[in-house]
Amino acid sequence: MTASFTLRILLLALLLLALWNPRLPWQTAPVDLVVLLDASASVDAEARDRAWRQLAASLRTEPAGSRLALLRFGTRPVTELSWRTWEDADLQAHLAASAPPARLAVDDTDTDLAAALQAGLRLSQPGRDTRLVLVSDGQATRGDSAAALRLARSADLPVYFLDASAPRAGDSWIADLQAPARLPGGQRLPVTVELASTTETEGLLQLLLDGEPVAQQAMHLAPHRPTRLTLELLPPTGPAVTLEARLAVTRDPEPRNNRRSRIVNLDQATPVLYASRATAAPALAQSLRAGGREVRLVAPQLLARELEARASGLVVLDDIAIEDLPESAWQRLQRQVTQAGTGLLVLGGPYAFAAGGYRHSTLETLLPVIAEARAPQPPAALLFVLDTSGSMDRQDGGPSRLALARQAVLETAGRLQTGDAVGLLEFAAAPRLLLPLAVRPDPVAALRRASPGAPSGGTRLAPALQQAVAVLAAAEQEQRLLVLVTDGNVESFELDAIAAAIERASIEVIALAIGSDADAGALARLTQYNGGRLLRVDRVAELPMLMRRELDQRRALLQTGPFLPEPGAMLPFLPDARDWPALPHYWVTRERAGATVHLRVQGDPLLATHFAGAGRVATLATRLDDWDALWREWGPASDFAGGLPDWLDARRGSAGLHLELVNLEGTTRLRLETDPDAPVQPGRVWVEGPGGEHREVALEALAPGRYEAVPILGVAGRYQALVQIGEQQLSHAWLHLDEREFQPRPDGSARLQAWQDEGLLRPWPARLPRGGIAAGEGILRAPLLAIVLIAYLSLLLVERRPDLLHRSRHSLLGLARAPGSMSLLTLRRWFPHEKA
Amino acid sequence: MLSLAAPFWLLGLLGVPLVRWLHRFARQDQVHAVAALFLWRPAASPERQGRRRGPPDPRWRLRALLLAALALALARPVLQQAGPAGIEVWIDDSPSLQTLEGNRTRLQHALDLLDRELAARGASDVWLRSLGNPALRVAWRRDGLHDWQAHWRTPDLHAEPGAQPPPAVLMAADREHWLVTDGADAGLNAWAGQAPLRRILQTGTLRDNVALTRLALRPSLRDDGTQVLVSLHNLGAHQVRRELVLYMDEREIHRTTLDLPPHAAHELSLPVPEPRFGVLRARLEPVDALAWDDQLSVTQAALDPVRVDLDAACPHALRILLRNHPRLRLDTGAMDALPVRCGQTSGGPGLHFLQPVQARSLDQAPRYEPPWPWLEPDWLHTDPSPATGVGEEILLGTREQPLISLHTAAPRRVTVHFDIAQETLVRQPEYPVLVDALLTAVLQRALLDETFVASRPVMESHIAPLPLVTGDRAAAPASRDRMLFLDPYLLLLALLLLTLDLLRARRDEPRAV
Repeated sequence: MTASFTLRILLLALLLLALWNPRLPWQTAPVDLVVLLDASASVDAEARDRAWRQLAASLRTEPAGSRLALLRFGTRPVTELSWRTWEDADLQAHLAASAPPARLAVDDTDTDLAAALQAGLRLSQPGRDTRLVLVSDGQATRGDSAAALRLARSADLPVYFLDASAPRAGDSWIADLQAPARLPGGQRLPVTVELASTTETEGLLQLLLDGEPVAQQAMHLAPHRPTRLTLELLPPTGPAVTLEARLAVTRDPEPRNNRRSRIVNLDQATPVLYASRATAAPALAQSLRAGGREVRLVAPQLLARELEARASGLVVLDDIAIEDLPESAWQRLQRQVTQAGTGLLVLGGPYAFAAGGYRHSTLETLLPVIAEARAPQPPAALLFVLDTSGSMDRQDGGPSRLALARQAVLETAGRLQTGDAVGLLEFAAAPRLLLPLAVRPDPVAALRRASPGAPSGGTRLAPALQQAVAVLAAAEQEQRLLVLVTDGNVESFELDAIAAAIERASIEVIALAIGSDADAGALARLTQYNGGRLLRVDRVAELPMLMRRELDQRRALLQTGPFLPEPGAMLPFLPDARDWPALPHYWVTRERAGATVHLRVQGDPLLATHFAGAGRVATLATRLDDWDALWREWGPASDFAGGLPDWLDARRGSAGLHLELVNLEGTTRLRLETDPDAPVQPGRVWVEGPGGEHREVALEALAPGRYEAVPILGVAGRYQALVQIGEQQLSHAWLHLDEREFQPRPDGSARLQAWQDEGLLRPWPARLPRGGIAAGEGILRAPLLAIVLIAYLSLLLVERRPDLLHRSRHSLLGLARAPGSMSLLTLRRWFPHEKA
Repeated sequence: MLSLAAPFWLLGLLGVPLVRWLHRFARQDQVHAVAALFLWRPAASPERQGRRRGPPDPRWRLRALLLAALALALARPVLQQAGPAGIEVWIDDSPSLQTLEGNRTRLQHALDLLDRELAARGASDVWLRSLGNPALRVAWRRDGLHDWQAHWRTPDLHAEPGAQPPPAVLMAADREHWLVTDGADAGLNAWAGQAPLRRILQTGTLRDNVALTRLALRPSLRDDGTQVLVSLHNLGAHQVRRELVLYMDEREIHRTTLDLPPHAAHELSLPVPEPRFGVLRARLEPVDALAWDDQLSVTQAALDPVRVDLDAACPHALRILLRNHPRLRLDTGAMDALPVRCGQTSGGPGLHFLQPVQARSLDQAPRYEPPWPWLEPDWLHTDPSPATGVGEEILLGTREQPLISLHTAAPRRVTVHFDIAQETLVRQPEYPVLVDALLTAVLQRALLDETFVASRPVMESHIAPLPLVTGDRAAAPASRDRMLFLDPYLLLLALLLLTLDLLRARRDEPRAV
């Protein structure tokens, strides 16, 4: 191979080098670097700091004129450092530090790589050589990362990746912790914990309420197979409690995912409207107050006004009779229960159920029981004896005494059962049997037709009683009732004989003595046999009610014990209750179709519930006061006394308000539901953040009765919202958590690799060139081309005119004479015609 | 236009005549055979100076070309695109551009202004880009500006609101970028301050506007009527009086006069006795400059009954309930009806009630999860261990067994694992609540509390122009993308020529005689 050929080969190589135009090791070019630093919870702080130090160390070679901007991101990116030149002392200080700057708060509960990349794109300036450097573990929990990477590629922005992940082999974690966000106060707290592990191991699971351990259990964890534990905790107290699950596992490489928390909001009970005729607080009211419930104790006559004044979550009727309230009040209560969901608890007593006139009343339509016995009672004979003397014409601010007595007779007759015999006898100076004692298909109509005469004359009771006893004694019914209404004196000399006759004939005398003139002493003697009873009627208007209630009691609707209650359907607030204490007596009712009976006595419902429209209604056919002594010794008594009203009170929290947290399209929203038929009301929401900072957010009406607010969630932690709408307030606490960050994603590394394969991402080089990461343009091309040009021209000269070379010993081609180089003879051999 | 980055290197072209001169001599390395040694001298050089002159060596052209290519490559010729740079006009097509000012919309004013500007500049390569829909790009023609308006449509109430300006690095660097806006969008104005815009054209002066921002309907709980919510905003700086009119199927049903304080929101709710109608329209009268946001309407077509194909095997109580459901209509056998199947599941879509084989009541209460009603264990008779299928999500269950499950993937199916015909359950008031919750789960619609909402973001009704630097701005940095450097191509040519020269040199190497 000749030197000419070799020289041409050399020139060819130089040309190829010029075409490549490589960058020289000492060549520099400024660059803009946007560092996107993953500050989400899943990134181990140590790994992040290590990555930062690696990045900072490699960036020392970047030339002057380069700039750096730092964005830290989790759920959203924040600009930690805006563009800083390399000469900036602050930047150099940060690069020299062992950890990246973190002056701004970052919501670390999610990782949105896409948002960070888009922020990096927006920060990039046209005309500058810009690179994005992503320092992350690649565990994106939201956003379309691939789309953002493609966007960067379309903008010719290379994206480098610096891995900040930590190894997780052998990790065990709490995969899920389920508990209701809201729980009615007094109810047990259902909790479900799901555990997962990548290895087979043993662990100890501990549950805490407000930091206090409440349960713990040893758990065996199998690899890649969730382990679930479900249990119920005792009812928590307070407006809200923090439930925390902790998993203790030895040698866990990632202990941060071994804790999970939830906040359970406990609906505070609404005030209980408690109607009672007792002067002192009844046992149930005392128990509710002792349990922290607000109880508005009202007398029966004030109940109507209270019902009208304000809505309650629960109304308790403790021995309240129908006559205690006007019909309009009962209808209001009916609407509140059926439409507004107000709970209703009806307790037994001498003025309740049958004795209170519940049968066929508006109240009874709400109840799970009917105010009569299951089986028909034995027929009875009932003879009304009315005083029609002149004094009965007296009016005490209303109808006359006789008119009220007639009304009482008619109402009481309405309670008679099939087979009952009824009769009416009037007396003044002499008795007159207006309606003979007989079984009648429509006793009320018969009595209405048998109208007594106008009041007149004096009072002679003895003949009337003698006739009445005779009539009843002849009756075939076993139970014989004599209902006497009078306001006059009784001839005492005849009493003993009559009383003896009454006793012999097994007649129960119910004497209603009207006014102060009535001879109570004489009447008491008449009623001393066979369970008779004297009732003083000071207020004539009460006459019908007294007569009716007394008759109901006589019809065996009060059972006297003691009796042991038999458990029926499970009570959700007291599922394991057994060995109920004996009760001294109860009022007989029968269950309505569809009602649920939770306690029975002798087959009769003692505690029954059902829904009346939207409201849950319960009847307890006894008085807790009568049970009181035995209750003190029965353990679950307080659970029952508190749990039953809580269970019935469906409108816990703030009446008519419902607040919940919803997550729509990645945004947490507070949604408030109110009555859609109520006028739209202005509302306000205050949100307290983990640092105690308060911020008011707008409450927007979305639809009738539906409002929404979007709280600004800055960092992870406990948030509490206080919602005020109209005059009502409701609070709700929740945890803004980073749980998604700790869910291992097996596809994470594969996805990163796929992005690298697609050219969307490139790893940050372990060592940067001396001049920095920016490629810049090579500077070799022009010198190389110049060398080639001159060398080629010289070659041609030598080839074509070696004589010129010979003549000029000092020419460039004089090199040919150098020792060991090409000799002139050689040249002559090439150019044989040339002479030296 | 062609130019040279380093013209000094053109001096290298002087080598071309040198090459020509060097190749004027014949090849002198050829062997001349002579009969005797004394004949060598005359045969060797007949010319006066001992060299023979003859026609130039034909290789000179190749070598001259090679030298010229090298010299030109050193001079770095640049091809610059001729004429002015193309223009991309980013048009703010937000609703505020539809504000009428002088019987023409702001957008029309802006396009007229743009037309004049472009015509004065003699621009021809112009693209109009939408900021609301960056994918939309329309070529501008001097007589065809209205083509753009044909592309503009009333913003979708449910579409992504607001302008979506591109990041600066995504804007074509080889083109000029202009912005046409009314400046009412503060976010867009902030972008304009950073983006490499060459020119901003701003239009519009009006500042007052009242907007209807929400119209929502919801069935009343008290009666068969409908509750209506209307939200409106006075975005102007003055108190105004407007009439709010509600039309039901074009029949006016409500009219009220409202005094709206400046910068204030107003909400009102009112009952409509009719439970069902076609369209409810709210309108502000008289309309203001931006008529677009003076009207909202809601169609209640979706309130048509949902057709249900009820299996004959289903219990009587369920049939009665579905027949009396106010939002359902039994339509057995209809193709597009919601299938309700009882017995064994067929795997299809709809609501499936499984018949337990060894039915017995639960011994533990199901987990209470709204919207499911509280269900007593006694009411639920089911198999001891019912199994859920692959991909089934448990909607309601006890600690140990599923009661209601959802097949989330298509076809969407809700499966009930307890006996829906159980007598105690059927009698409970929770029964209809349960069935309605099941219907909600399978239809993904709350049939008994369905709200109908039309709304628009308040920010889209801001029409007051904000301060913005308009007119010509500092030119964007000159782009390298508009220049084509030719030196690599010349280098390639030189490589090719040198290779040819190399091959010929290899061929012409002297061989041993």
